[in-house]
Amino acid sequence: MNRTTYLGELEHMILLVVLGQGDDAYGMSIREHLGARVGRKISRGATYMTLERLVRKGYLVARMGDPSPERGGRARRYFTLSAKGRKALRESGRALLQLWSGHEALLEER
Amino acid sequence: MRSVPRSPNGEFRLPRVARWLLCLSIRDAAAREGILGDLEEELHGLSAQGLKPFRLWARAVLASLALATRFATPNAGRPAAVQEPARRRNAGRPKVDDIKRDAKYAVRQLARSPGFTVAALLTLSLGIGGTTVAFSLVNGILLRPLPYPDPDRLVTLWERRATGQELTLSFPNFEDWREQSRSFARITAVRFPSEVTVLGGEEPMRGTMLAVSREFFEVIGVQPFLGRPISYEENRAGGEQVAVLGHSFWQDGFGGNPDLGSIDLTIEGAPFTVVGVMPPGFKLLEEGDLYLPLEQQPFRVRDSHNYTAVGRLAPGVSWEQAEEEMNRIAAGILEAYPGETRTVGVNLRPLRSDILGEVDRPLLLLLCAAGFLLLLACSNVASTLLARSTLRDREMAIRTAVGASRGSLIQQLFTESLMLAGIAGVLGLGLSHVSLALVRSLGPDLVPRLESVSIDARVLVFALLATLLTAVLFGLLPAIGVPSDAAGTLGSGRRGDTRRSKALGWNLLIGGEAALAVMLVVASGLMVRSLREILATDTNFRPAGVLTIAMNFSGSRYQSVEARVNQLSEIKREFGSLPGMTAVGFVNHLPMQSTSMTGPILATPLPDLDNIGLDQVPPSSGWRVVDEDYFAAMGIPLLRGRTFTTADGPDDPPVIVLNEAAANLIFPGQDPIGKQVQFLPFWTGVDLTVVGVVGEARDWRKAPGSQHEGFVLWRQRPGYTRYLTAVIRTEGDPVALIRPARERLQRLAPEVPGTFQTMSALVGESLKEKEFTMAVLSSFAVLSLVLAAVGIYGVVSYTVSRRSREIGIRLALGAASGAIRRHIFTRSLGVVAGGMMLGVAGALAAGGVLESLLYGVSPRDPVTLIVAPLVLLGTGALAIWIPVLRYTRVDPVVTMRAE
Repeated sequence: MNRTTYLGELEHMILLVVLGQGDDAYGMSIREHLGARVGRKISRGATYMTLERLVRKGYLVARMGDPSPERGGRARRYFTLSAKGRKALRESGRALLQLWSGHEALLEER
Repeated sequence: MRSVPRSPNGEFRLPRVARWLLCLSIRDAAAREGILGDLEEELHGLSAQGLKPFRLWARAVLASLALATRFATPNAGRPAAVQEPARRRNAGRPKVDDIKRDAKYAVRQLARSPGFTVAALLTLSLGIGGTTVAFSLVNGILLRPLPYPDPDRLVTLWERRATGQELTLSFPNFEDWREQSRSFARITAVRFPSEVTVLGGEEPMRGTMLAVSREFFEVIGVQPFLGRPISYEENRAGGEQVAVLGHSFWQDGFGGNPDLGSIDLTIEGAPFTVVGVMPPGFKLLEEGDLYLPLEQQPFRVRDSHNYTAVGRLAPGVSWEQAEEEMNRIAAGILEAYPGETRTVGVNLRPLRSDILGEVDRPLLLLLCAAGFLLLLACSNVASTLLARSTLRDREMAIRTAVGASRGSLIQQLFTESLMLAGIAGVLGLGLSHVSLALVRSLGPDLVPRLESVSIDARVLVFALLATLLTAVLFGLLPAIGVPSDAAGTLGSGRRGDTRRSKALGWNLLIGGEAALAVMLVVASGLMVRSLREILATDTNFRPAGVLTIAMNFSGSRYQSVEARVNQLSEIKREFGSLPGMTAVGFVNHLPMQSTSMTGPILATPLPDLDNIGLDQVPPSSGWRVVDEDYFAAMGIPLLRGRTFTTADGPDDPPVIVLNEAAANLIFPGQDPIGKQVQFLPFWTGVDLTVVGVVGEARDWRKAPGSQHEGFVLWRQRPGYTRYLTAVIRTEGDPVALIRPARERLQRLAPEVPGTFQTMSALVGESLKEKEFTMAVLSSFAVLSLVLAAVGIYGVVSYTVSRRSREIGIRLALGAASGAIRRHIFTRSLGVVAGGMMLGVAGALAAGGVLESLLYGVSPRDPVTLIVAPLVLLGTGALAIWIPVLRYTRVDPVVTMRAE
């Protein structure tokens, strides 16, 4: 067992968004996407802290883009999934799906 | 990460606070870059959607605040299990917790004695604020280098006569100098500025023209902001007619048109090509609107001194070497051209001294005053902190007894002092920021380079260090004295502080503060009184209801004197038919316009001018060319004789009218009417008959009797009619006349630029300076009074409170509280009075320095010397009475039980 903990909720969601956005995922786009799809506005602090934590854990790889004027001459920090990140996401997802299987019907019944 | 390129179109930018917060809290540079950029991008989008700037700002600040707190406390809101490793990391550094605890304790301590805290904060912030302002002024104006590269190598050069008289340069001498001298990398000559008419912009304009020799741009070392400098090829006979524009002239006149080639510049009717624009704010001695090549047709007369010379010393050449060489060259020239020049030597002066002129002295005085103020503030802080230190003897002893180390006590006190000084520093900084903004808005013309004055790091560090050092030194006192004998202090209980040695120290402090404050109040009081004296004297003209129109007839149509005179007569007739006007006159310079057109008026027969000592030449008088109605239009009173009339024809014997100051200067104690004078150098070789004396129409800033002027009639001296100002007096509102007057001028002389201003507005501009000077002086006096009062209050309230037990006993034993009050009050007031006398003596001793700055008030002015100390005594009495009353009103039983 090289890993004992699964992804946290926000970590999981963010990794999914990054996966979906391909090469164009950066802080603001991720946060906006989360807000639009999940319907929950995640605070800036939580978003960025989680992103940095995921980079530190080696699930995400960050690279700098080109500076642009509307960003006050600053570059975007783009994120992509690392192999480790893909693996973690896959495992977490699989674990959840396994747990889910058969439960949807139970929820319907109530 | 700090220097961020600006958004190109000046749209929304992340507020500095926000950037600052995030830079402080987010350690990782890449993460910070990404987050800052995201925030900026988001707000940029919102700004494009039309969110109001204030909301954007608030949103940015709030967001960055939230982010910053999140990043600064990485584990907040996380489960304890996750926090554990972080805690372990911190375990090795207990200091953070200690500092937090000390800070908390310090806040409690400060809150516990609000009186002390407010007094200390007030003193410290006033001290820091006041000194920062004063030092900012001195720093910005005196200490900061001039805006040229290597400014200390720049010197001005002057020709010197055998009499010691100093003259500007003649062109042939300049050519010899630059050819022969090796001490200078380059020398440049600049012709006196002159006003010219410029076409090619939206309207005809007047501009200040500076003709410069070819080395100009190399000597100053400043390159044009746009385009290029004037080349050597252009700057010689037959060269192309080119011009470099001053930045504001380019902005105002040509709308900042960057395509210089498209500008059709015409100066005095001749076409010029614009090749460059100087950087904003550039000026050398004079601010030029146009820089033209001088050497296309220089004035080659060896005894005609029309040029200012500025040189840049060659590397490694000392001042003395340069001076010695230049004197040798001058001697050689004198030998080579006998009779053509009378220059025997060369004087060198640092460029800085010519730019700063006479401002040095008042500013240095201000610096002295600021120094005193700082001293006062420091002694105040010292006394308040000292007072507290003894109060805390017991606390320190207890803390030592229960195991506090000396180090931790010192750390605690240090934190307290630091916190006090820190808060005061912020307050003081805000204070100085506000007052500097005030200074800048009120006194733009008062001192050169005022626009460049701001709070810079040097000033800040200075004021902060001075006060901080005081605060920390005296704040640490309790820790130094006590712990050595904790048991002794504890055992002694609280007995009240009546030791003689300490009392002496307190008295010295109070007395010293009183002395310093009296000196400051006397000095500023004298200045204010002197200013009042100047202002109370009539300025001898009536600005209300007067419209002035500055006109320029230097265009090609008006080259001939006849054309100008005819045009002027016509304009005068036209203006004379304006509705409601009562008089129309002409003058070349208005009373408040300082001008370089001054020269000595000498009674005939003239002394031998070649061998006259410098001290025998009377001060220069202003050369005023007027018509016969000027005095009536300006409201200048006739004191003796007559003014000009239409009967004074162009070919009649020339006449002159003197103002009172000039008359008293040239003919002291005599009746000048009918006497003959000459006005050099404007009308040499012609005797003028004095026909009248008029009142001294005077700039309020000048001391009465110091603005000497001689008036001649324009018809008799028509050569000086290129620049004239029409003065129109009306019964109604002069503003209403602007439009019809402008229309008439446009119709008669469309290419003559006219500047329309009411006299009241012109005077109002200079009145701003009056307010400024008064405000600065008065605020110094008030500030020193407040500081002294706060200091005295602090010390007295401390000493009295220390004696409250003793007072309680006395009261209990039957002493009348009034008697005790009187006793304490008179003793303290006696000390203040003693210090006051000392201060008066000091002010008397320093009076000599002030004397030259005062008008109509002696530095030993009894009123000031009595009133200022009395005011201080009153303030001091109040500062003593309040604490005395407070501590003697208490029920004796309460005081005694308080132990």
